Amino acid sequence: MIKEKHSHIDADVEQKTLLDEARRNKTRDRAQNVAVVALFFAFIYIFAILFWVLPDRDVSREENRALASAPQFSFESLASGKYTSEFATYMADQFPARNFFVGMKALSERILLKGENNGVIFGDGGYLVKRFDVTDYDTLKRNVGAISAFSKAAEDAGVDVTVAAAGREADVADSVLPAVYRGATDGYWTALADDFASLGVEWVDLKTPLKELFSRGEYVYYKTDHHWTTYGAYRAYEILAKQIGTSARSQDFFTVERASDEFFGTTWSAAGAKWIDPDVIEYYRFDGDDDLVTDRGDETFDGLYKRSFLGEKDKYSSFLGGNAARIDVTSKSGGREKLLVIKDSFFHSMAPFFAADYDLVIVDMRYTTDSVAKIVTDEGIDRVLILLNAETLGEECGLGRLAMGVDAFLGN
Amino acid sequence: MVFSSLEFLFLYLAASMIIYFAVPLKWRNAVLLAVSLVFYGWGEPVYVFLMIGTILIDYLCGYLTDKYKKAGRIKAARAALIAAIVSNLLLLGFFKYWNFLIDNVNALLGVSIKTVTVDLPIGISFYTFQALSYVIDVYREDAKVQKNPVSFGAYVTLFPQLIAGPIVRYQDVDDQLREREHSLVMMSSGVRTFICGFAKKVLLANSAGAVWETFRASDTVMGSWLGIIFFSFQIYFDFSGYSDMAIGLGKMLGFTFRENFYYPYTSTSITDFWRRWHISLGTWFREYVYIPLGGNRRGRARTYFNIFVVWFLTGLWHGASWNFILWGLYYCLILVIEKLFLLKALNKAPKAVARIYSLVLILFGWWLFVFDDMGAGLAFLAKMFGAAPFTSAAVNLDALSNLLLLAVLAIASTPLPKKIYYKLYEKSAAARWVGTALAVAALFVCTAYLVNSSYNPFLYFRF
Repeated sequence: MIKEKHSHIDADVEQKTLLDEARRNKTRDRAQNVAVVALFFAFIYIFAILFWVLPDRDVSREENRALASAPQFSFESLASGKYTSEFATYMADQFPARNFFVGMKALSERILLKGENNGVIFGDGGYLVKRFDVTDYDTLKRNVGAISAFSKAAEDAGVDVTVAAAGREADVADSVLPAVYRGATDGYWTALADDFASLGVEWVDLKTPLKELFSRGEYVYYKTDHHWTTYGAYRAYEILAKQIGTSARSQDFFTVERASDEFFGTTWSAAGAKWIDPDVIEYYRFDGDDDLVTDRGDETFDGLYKRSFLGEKDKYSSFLGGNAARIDVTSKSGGREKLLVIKDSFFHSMAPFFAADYDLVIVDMRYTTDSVAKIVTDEGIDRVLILLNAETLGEECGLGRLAMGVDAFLGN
Repeated sequence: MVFSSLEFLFLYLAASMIIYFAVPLKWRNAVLLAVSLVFYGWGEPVYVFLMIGTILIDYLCGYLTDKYKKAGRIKAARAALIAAIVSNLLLLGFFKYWNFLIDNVNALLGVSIKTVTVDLPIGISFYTFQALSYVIDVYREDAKVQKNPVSFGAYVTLFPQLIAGPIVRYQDVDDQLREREHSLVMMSSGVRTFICGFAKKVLLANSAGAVWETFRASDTVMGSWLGIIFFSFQIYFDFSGYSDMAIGLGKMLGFTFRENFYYPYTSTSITDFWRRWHISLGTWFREYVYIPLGGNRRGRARTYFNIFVVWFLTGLWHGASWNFILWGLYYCLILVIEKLFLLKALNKAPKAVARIYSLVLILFGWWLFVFDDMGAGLAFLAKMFGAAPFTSAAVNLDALSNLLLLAVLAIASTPLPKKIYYKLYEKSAAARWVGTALAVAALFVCTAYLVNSSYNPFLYFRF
């Protein structure tokens, strides 16, 4: 007969031994025992009381969203379980010292050498870089196909199209990233280049030159946000202008205004990395930029900036006032050539450079179902810039609709 | 309500503890019953009535069983016992297995009987088993009858182990329901055990779970293997963390519950594993199914039949799905093989070999366990064995950035941390203070993780 071990008894024996031990040492350990119990309950009661006593906050600036308020009690909502689930959300949203705890969680992930928190990588020099893994190469292929269909139809109709891809911060920031993250997006860029090449579409790679600048320590991407800086946008503009066939305005043409040095962007929010310093937002101003008119469809303002955003968390939205289906930038005096731009938010900080020479029709495919081809023919546009960052190119973002209505070119 | 939530700690526990300790000793069971019903009703208030019904039926059956037994009317006592068994199993059967049964009948006979839409009452698998243990213990005279319905109600609903165990047998807490130890030693030991379980759940299980979710869809060989490894850690720390929290809360209230886990991933055989994993369930099936069926005393064939029944039921208990039944039978098969000859060999083999053997089999057990969709499970298995690229850039990234976590999980599965902790604890007062500080720090950090889980920056990343 095999002698069987009885671990289930061992477990109870161990528990009992430890408890007996604790009883034997109760005089010796009294201080520690009192401390652990007192601190445990102090912790629970202090936060419980603070939760009830402190006034509720309406919004979280860090998260840029409204916080839940106390749910309305009714017996129906209690019976359906709605009340208790809303209460849980309410409690989490209004928990005392919420930001402190979020920061503490970030710090402990850092200590666990996780290298990232909530999908944001901690880079050297205070760079917070959103992790970027796209595995769905099919969407990329479809989007590139739509761009190709559009630009071919447009070129046939005599409209000049420039296609450009901008890098995400994760694409350019190798020099500050922990080793394991370096080059992680190379495969994606190869796929992107292959897709363009297979369809014979010429495209401008804005990643490689900015990566080069980044590695030399130039401030071309924000540390706490996923966008490029205005300076980074300027360097990209230089390359694009050359491609479009106009000469780029030199840096001397612009006066740099320090619009904010308190910019905490999206990656800062996500990472909860309270110990990181803010970024600086610069405006590249030029004579007469205040005379331009920005028309966002539902509102119109003078100049290219909506400065009220500088007082909020989302300061990047001060460029053109943030996302909209269509934004028109026109000169009051008129008579300038129109440039149509199909873009995501990376273009916003670049807009002022092109606005120095062109009236702009800025279209965001994610928010519009209008046919771009129709806009081009209706408004007699002969220059189109498609500028998207690599992530937008790889996801469902309405680009498929670009191919829609390209027949309109035939009538041109 | 679950323990690892802000509303449990800062609302429910805060209030319950005040009431519990504010009332005189003789009222404490009543308070326990009341607050436990609130705990139970928090998520699904209507099922409180189901719970009260269960308590009343089992109270009555227990009462009658005892009465008839004492009067020498064995048949009547047996009838009361059977009434309890049938009513509990009917409840469990209806809420947990009815739709599963209908689905299988439909598939088998090609008919289309309608299924019913009911939510599974939380914890029903645990509390029906507890209630049953009471009536059976009374019938067997392993425990005294509980004449006070409030005390009995407190036993069935006892919030620390109400929804996820351990399954406390009535005979183990019989005395404690009448009189229990409220002392600083029990309280401080309870607080420490609770925090330890809390950290296991929030820091280890949730982190491992997040990694498993990433790897689950990796479509690579390495990702799939790592994924199932991380899942194994997730389920262990989740469940044992929850048990620790229950045991800790029990101690705070003056109860000593039996341990539910004993370093299962250090097992040297599967037989050993099932003595270390979910001990209270194994004990329950042994005491209330295997032994009544005759155990190993009725010849070889009957023994194997009994083992089969126990493992079929153990599998089924985990969920109304074929994969759980297969999971139970998988262990049945291994246990029988071990009983026949393998255990002898394993006991002679080097410990490392025996451990690796056990871990590999446990790992495949979890593979069976985690996929209730067999097709998805088989596809995943195929990926583990080469029907996918070996690795990918993203998998390498995730593997490297979670390497330290993996090491922490592995070490935390062994008795080592506890050994070191107690060794140091004995050494000096300074070490004891460090231990105390660590416990409080862990409480802070766990709270931070809970708060962070609601931290959903409206990320305009996409724009």
